[in-house]
Amino acid sequence: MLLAALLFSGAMPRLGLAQVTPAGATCALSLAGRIIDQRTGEPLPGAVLRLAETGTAEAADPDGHYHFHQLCAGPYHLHISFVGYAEQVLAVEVRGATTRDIKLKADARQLGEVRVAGERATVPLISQSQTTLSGQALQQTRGRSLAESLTGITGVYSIQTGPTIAKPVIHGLYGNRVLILNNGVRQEGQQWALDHAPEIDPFTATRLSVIKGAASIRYGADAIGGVVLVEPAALPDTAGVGGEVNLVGMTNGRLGAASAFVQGAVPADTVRGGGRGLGLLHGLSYRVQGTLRRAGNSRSATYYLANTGLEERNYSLALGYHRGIVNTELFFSRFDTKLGIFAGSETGSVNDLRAAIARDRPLTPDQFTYAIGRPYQAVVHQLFKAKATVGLPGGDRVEAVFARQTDARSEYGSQLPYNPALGDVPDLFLSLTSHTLDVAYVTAAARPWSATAGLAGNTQANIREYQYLIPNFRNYGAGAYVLGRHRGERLTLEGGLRYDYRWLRAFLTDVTTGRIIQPTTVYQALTGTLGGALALGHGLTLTTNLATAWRPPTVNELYAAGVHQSAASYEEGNASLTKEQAYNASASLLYSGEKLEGEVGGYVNYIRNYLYLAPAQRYIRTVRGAYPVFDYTQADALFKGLDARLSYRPFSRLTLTSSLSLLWAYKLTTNDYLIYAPPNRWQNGLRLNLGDAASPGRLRGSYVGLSNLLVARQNRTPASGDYAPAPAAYNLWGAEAGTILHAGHQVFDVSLTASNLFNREYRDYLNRFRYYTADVGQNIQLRLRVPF
Amino acid sequence: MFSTLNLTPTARFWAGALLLTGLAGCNKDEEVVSPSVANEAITTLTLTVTNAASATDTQTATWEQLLDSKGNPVASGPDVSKANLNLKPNTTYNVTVGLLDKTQTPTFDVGAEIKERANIHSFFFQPLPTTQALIIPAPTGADTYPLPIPTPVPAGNPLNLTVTRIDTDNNKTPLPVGLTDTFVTGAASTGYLRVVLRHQPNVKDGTFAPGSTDFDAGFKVTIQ
Repeated sequence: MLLAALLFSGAMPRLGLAQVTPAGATCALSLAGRIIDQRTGEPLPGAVLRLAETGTAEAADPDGHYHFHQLCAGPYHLHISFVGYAEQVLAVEVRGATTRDIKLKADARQLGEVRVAGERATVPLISQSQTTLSGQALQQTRGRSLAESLTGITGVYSIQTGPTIAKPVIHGLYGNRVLILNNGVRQEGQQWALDHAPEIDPFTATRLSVIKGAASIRYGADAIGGVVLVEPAALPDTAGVGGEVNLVGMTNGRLGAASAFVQGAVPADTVRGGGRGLGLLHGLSYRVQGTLRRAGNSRSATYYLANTGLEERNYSLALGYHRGIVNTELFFSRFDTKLGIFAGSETGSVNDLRAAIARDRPLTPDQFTYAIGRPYQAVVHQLFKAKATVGLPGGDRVEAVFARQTDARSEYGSQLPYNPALGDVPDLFLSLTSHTLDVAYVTAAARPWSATAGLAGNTQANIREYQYLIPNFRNYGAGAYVLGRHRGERLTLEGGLRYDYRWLRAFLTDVTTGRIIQPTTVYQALTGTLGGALALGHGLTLTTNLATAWRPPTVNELYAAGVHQSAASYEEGNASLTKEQAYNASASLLYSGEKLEGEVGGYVNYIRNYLYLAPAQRYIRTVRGAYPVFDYTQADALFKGLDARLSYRPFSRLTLTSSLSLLWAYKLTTNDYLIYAPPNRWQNGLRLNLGDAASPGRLRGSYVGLSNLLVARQNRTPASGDYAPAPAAYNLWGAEAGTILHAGHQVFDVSLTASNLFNREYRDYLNRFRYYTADVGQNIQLRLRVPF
Repeated sequence: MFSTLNLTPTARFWAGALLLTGLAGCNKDEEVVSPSVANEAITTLTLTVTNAASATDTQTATWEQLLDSKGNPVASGPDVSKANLNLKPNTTYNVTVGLLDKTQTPTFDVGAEIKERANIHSFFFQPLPTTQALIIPAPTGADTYPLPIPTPVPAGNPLNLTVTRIDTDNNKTPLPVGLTDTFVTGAASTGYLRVVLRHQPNVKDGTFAPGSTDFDAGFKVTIQ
């Protein structure tokens, strides 16, 4: 062992030290510490540390801690490697119980790759397919909306209403069937229509994760399609003040985005460099974050899309306090957006829609402006969260999270009210207030057996004004769950059970009697999950999961009645609808080798009483003309599909990636395809890592890349219910280049990305404004990240 | 049988606090239902038709569709009982178009407001034979709907009526509005007159196609 130390530390001047250690001295020293991301301060569980001198290797635990025991005194070399981060070698002098904390830098060579988190630390279930965007892969999406950021992930699509409004689609399901967890809290926004986008600023997150498949067990009803996790970095626990500035500019829409955060801490103990003497302030940490985003009219390949600008102003504040076994966190965020709606999408009747479909290009003014006129949406979403975690002896912990959310949505129609006395008021106003309380008991993850048990409760109140879309309502929900896991040598098994109760009372005026009625509905359901992950050896892992999930009908599905202008339809709810019940099975095979990495997964989601809008084959006559009527109905539906991705590194500088998403969505009851099912998609990429520039230290991790997106024509469309046939297949190219510029101690992370490189004109099946206009054309994006 | 609940002062404080929080969380704002307000409702269109040669020869025709408490068209459908015009052949009439919103109290004169916003609004008139599908009067049988009105309206309609819009807007090149018009009748005939109000913000160019429809109604016209 000493010989090895001598050989490896040949360059070290203090060679003699190891030699003076008398042979036979007890080697009982230790080296320990914590490994974190240099920028975000979050722990890096699963990072591999290897001591060159002893040959022993160790993986960091879920909190990022590592330990080496029975070491002799002397110099050592510690090799640290983790996917997505630059490999580091540290020279460590071990004398006594040595502590060495390590900060790893994100590696530019991993830019743009979607990587699967090694330990899947954030998800309660390991047997479900999860993909995380973090580090440079997330950086590549900065400036885009949440749904747009996720569309690179296999099996994930986005359903759009023009260029400003997008919702994530997981395995063909969207809206109320995809749950979004914003900083650990169920996002409770207005989800009554496809043009109600999630009210979240992705700049708050350092990780965006997608859990594909039914995940109701931990998160409650509604997670039939999957879950999107928006996770901010953990608050820092080391002394000092740091932060980051992000700037984004895009040519299409002349979008500009600026986001910055500043964070700091007064560490609880001296080990983390905190010093003493600040009394109760020790243990305090904070983060202040803000984002501004603005864009003008987007442009298709050949013309501008009138009134498609957006304005966004968001901020968030986080405060943490750690003392003894109690960790408390307060979080407040405000999201404030104004979204222009494409002027050419206004329809007075189905005639206007048909005329728009018949035209090659819209008749709206072809010019650029940042000004947003009617029609537009203005949404303000505020979240307050208080979380307390109590660490118990033995590593178990109790967590309690209280959250209050308010969501105020104003939708402004195409013109001012005729009566000037009404003022510049919206056509529709909805205000939703939600309170949630979650309590969970989580056992230590280190033991073979681990479990989570919890209770969840929530209440919501909604108030509407002006037009009628949904009624006022009050909603109470409660749930209880237990999840268990056994981690074996090769096989990990997990299972869970959950009970949910939902009570919903609507307040609305009866059209015939004129009286206020209060229909009440109660739904309850039991859901379960069973799954496992088996390490097959040779880098192969097989995971399978069986899960059930359910969703009560939402208030719009029960009581909606009115014209949906941009959809040119009249939508009618049905108060006698029952709950939707999903049975989900998935399996995937992962391979992780030196040059090749990949995952192939298949899934089947059978949904009983799937709720959807069915054409009623009749029209309603309004003063503007006629609208086709759509009724909320139920039918049994089957979704099945395949996700595959492959990453191949023939040599260290070149990475080839390919991913395929296939989906088949069918209504069993009526033997017809479901509308708005994502078409099949094949993405390919190539990235050449140019390494570091010749002059040392100036440009590091430079790369260039090329990508291709092929979206097939959706041939599986319903026989009725759509106004226009599915658009043709399209093929878009993209290019990217980036580098990390070092100027003294300052780092500038710069990248240039081009999407729709050749400015192709195309329409996407899942963009509901494909009836009115082509999709956006070429977009060149410049991104700058400056950590400090 | 029933044990008395004995609480320490601290417990009593917390119980009280809990109760107060519970009550505060249960305000009943949602139980107050606001009436539906449609900001851009037009319920009634009236044509006032006066013989240019005889001021006393005047008549009105009214087409109306009221809204229910949710802002949707009433189930009974539009009232077309007064949507009839009886004109003399080979005569010139001066016509004014009136628009009302009867969902507001008092009834709001939308026509005056359209005059204010003439630069982004335009009326179109289309004489049609009675055999052609038309929304109003309500068609029977299959639901088919008239196509957008071509610009200019093709000549040679079975209904011998020529409509000329008189008033113009304040656009750089003044364009017709249609709140005041001239009807010139030909030989005896019957048919429908379709009246469409188009909302054309930033795109008004004198043609029908740009923008969207605010109002689309039809009158039964008898020339005899």
